[in-house]
Amino acid sequence: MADDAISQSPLALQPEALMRFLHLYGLLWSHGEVDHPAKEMARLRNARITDCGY
Amino acid sequence: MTWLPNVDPGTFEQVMALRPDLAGAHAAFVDAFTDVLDQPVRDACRIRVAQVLGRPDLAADVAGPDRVAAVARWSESDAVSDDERVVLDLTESFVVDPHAVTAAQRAAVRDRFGEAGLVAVVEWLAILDGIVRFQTVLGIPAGAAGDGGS
Repeated sequence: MADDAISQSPLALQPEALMRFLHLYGLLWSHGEVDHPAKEMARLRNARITDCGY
Repeated sequence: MTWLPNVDPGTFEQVMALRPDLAGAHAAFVDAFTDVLDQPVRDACRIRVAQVLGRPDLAADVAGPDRVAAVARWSESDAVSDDERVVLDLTESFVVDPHAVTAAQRAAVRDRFGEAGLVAVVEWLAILDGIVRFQTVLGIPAGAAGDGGS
């Protein structure tokens, strides 16, 4: 899961920020006007362009 | 021009208010760095990220012209502290091409701020980079933005 990967990343060195980030990230994925496939497509394209393993 | 004609005059807060749930969570995330990084360092990052991304209006929102000019000339300015200088060196690479950030740049920040500090600096830059790009893509002008809404 992406959240697990993030939680086990260096971001955990800032636990308060990590907690707030995961809350924001969760809202972005679970709510909103954009459907889930479109969000996933944007996430994958962003990761490909930036060469991000997540 | 604005791409959101129903949001007048299109300040950062007004645009974010279109998604009040996200606005609150985003503001809370930004606020998490208030106690982690000193304000001069946070503001120096805000100024330089805006400058590198071609938004001098956003840089001018952060501080007066002398400070803004000093940050633009960070590598040679006596008005920039050593803490700010190592962060600004990493800032430029981060914004232009994150793959170009060197081990020496990371080490310089880590040596001054610690490992958790390095993480905080990079997270802070990611926030600012995202906000400035957000404001640029949506044509949101400077002004009426909070600490993170540069």
